[in-house]
Amino acid sequence: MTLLTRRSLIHASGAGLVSALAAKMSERHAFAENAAPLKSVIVLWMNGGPSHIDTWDPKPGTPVGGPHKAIKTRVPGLSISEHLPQMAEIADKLAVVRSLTTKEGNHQRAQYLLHTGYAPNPTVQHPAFGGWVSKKTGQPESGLPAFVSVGGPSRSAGFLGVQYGPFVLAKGGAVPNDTEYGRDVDTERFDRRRRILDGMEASFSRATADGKVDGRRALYEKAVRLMRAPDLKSFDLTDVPESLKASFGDSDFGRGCLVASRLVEKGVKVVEVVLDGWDTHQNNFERVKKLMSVLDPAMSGLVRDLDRKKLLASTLVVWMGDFGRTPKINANDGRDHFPACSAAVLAGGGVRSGVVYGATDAEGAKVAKDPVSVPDLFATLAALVGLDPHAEAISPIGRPIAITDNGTPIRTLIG
Amino acid sequence: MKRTLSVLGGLTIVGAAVFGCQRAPATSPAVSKLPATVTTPTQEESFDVRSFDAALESAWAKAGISPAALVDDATFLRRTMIDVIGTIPSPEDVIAFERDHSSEKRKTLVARLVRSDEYAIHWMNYWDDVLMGREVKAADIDRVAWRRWLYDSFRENRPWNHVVSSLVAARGMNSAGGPRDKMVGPMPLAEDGNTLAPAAEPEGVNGAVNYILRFRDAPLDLVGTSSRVFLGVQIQCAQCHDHKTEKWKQQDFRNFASSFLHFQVASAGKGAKGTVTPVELKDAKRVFPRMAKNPEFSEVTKAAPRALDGTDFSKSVEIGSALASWLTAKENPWFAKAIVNRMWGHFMGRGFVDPVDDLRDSNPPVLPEVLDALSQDFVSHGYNLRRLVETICATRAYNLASSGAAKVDQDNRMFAKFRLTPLGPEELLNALFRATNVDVAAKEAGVKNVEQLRMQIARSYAFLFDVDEEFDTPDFEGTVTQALTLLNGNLVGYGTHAVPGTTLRAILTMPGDEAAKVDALYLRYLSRHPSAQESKDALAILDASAEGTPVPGSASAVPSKGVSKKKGGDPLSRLGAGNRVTPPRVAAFEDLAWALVNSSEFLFNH
Repeated sequence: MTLLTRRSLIHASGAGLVSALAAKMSERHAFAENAAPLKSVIVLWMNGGPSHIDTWDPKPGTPVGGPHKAIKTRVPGLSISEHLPQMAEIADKLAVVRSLTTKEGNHQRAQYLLHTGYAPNPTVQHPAFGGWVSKKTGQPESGLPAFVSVGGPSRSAGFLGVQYGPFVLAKGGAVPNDTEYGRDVDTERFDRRRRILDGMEASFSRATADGKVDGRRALYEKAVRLMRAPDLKSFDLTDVPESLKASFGDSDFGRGCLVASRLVEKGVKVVEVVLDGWDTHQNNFERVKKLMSVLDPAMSGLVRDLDRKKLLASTLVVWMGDFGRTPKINANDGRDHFPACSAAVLAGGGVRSGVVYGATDAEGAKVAKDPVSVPDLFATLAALVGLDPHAEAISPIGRPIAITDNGTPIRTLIG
Repeated sequence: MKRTLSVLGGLTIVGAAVFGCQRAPATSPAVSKLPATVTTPTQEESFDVRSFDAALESAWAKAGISPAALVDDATFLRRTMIDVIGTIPSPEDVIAFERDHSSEKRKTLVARLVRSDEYAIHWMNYWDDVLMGREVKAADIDRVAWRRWLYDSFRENRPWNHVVSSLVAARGMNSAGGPRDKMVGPMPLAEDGNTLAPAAEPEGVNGAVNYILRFRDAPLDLVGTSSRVFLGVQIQCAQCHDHKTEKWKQQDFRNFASSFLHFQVASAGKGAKGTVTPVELKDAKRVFPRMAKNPEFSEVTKAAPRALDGTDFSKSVEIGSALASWLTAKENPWFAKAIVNRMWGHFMGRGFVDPVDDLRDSNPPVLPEVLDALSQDFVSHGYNLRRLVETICATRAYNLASSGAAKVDQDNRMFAKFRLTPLGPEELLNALFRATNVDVAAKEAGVKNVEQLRMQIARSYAFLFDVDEEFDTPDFEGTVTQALTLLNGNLVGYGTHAVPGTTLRAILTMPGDEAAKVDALYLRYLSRHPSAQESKDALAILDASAEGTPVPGSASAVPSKGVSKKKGGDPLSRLGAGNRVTPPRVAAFEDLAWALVNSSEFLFNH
């Protein structure tokens, strides 16, 4: 059975098209459940739009370069910002894309695009990439959610349904909100309350004979399973050795990255960790330097930790954000939105590492080589994780929507 | 008649509470704090549902369906208050309604509700969500002016064709330069603290302009959204290329888009720091000049402004007005159907056409004759939304029970039984506040800024419990986070604590025996009396608690194992402060209240 589940079938039958549509679907790449286990993905989301020039695509000594220097990395020909020294040391584990280019210069639209792979369109709510993965894999046996977002809302699973959307944590490092009993409630009292509730639910379910009531009861079971999952402690860093914590840096983002590493170990399929503050219209250089002091230990700590745990091959790490920033430095010593050029970085998950893909011109103002569109980037992510980039599900208005918007995986990036 | 009035006087509606409008104090007696009536019903607002019912009944008979029984009064009252004004009835409302023996009482109730202030607030919130959405933030969008405009539209019951014309052809100033508030700001209040002050928009300001400004970065989405919402036509599908199976070609989209975009945005001053940037929308002879430079839009700037049926607006002096006239004309085959279908969907949980905004030929309606008849009736009575609501609420379909062994079609597509729909965020929060009075308790516990607390909670619930009501899902869709919030969260947790100010405390301290208290609890939380069995079950739970031990408060020296202490940051946690030991019987009442709030009966409209 494909994602032509009840909703789409009802829709199709409404159009009198069941068999025609089913036939069409089998020709197409229907989005099937199961298949080979997918790899995990950790998205490091740089909220606000990180400057490409000040991070992975430095232009030292040019009028657009700013005061920061570039440093060499372990990869010949790859220089990055001097404020990413630890990343430079593990550059052989990275694939740096310098030629990502889009048309979306507005935060909301760009965030939608870089989470779903599609430009926003009023007729359909596209699922976040994590939503597709979550739909495909279902809830891990550990009882943990399939898709977790730390430090930001990520994006919903759109028309796939809210149950495939992210489980959102404001911060990483402690057990999620409301997974502990409320005040004056202990296990015994909680169970007593649930027994009372069960009685009420059973009689309402009988009276209405509506599957939605049982759906709610199942959801409550799932919530209680999470509350009582032994692996819930993966969210909590209290007992983690200080030295390990320190290697990720003392920041919410660093703790989020450590939590992400612990979660994929327990079967969570998608984790997004958000580092906010990249919208540097003013005082760009000081702010970006500070952000990189958070990013550098956290991201390198994550890659190293996954590597140490032998999880790097089965976990794809992706660094990206809204868009790049203008080469031109504005009157407030800031950089403005610049979708024409941005950078993305991949690691693990079968990526061909030690690679620089694409290039911008001398001023970082134009893509000069191997432009990468968002659909191509997402097709690459899909292929790496184990999804067919062209697999489709039917949206509520009956349109087949593929995982990527006609993207083609970039073979050079796949190891 | 006198009796009817007293029923209505019982409706102390607090729908506005969490959205910034003050409410009547919870301790005030349930006497008439009548929502302001804006217009008295007139002859032309009268309606007759017999023909619609006949059409429904004949369709059921033809399909061999036996519909559910008529719903009982208490459930009808709850259902209607949720759908029409977004909150649940108080015990006083329920009792007054059950004591009313007038044969017209349901009709009278709805007539009252659609003329209340809370109706305007509820539909302001509904359309704010549909047309603007929570995520929109921009320096030149004045959400207060925008919401004010929506509120006025529903309070004055402006005809729907006027409302839509005013939106798609909105011209004028966006704002009087009010504070830029990312939260949906409190609306101005009148002296009595209950109703909103009369519109006081300065000359030239038109809140509707903010709808168009929302699309400044993506002007073609103005076309897609307007077409989808107001016509149920998904023209956006033709934005990028022609589709083999779809009616609309790319050129149709460009022509139609052009007719929406003959305006310019002129700067109207700089605006002080932290205030909305004032701009003025004016008619223009050409499409939005900025767009010509963008290759994505340049084809649209070259296209002649035309309607979907080819009507050419090129010769019109004001193209926006010409578009608005075409869009809302009687002859437009989609306009009335789109809103009637959407409203039916809101009240019934599913439109005749599902999703409600997809009226293409290949997605035909169920019961097309009913949709057509309702649409014609809507047009011939002046696009009167209030009357449409009253009509829908009076149909037999809306008056059916959600329970009972009705023989319905698979998935109940013909409305032979009332469909369960989860409460949306606004409704849920109103219901939680009304059932528990947790906000009053917070005030009594010393929380200073209860209004701000309400706003915070409203924001987090708006995010958490967001539901898409534009299409029907046969299965329940919810998130684990929602479940955890209700199971262990502070709002439900403290709301069902028997601390001063909560409804539970009031129930526990009222005179009367245990059975009377259980009755009061059900009335308060579920807006109905308990059945004999439910009452018996509840009393058994209370009796069993007599053998229990007191539940220690968290501040006691040795908290029992597993008791959480991690609730410090939330102002609501003040409600649990102090070394409180809960007697077992009180704890059992708390357990019952907690279960009621977590029950599907509470969380669904049914």
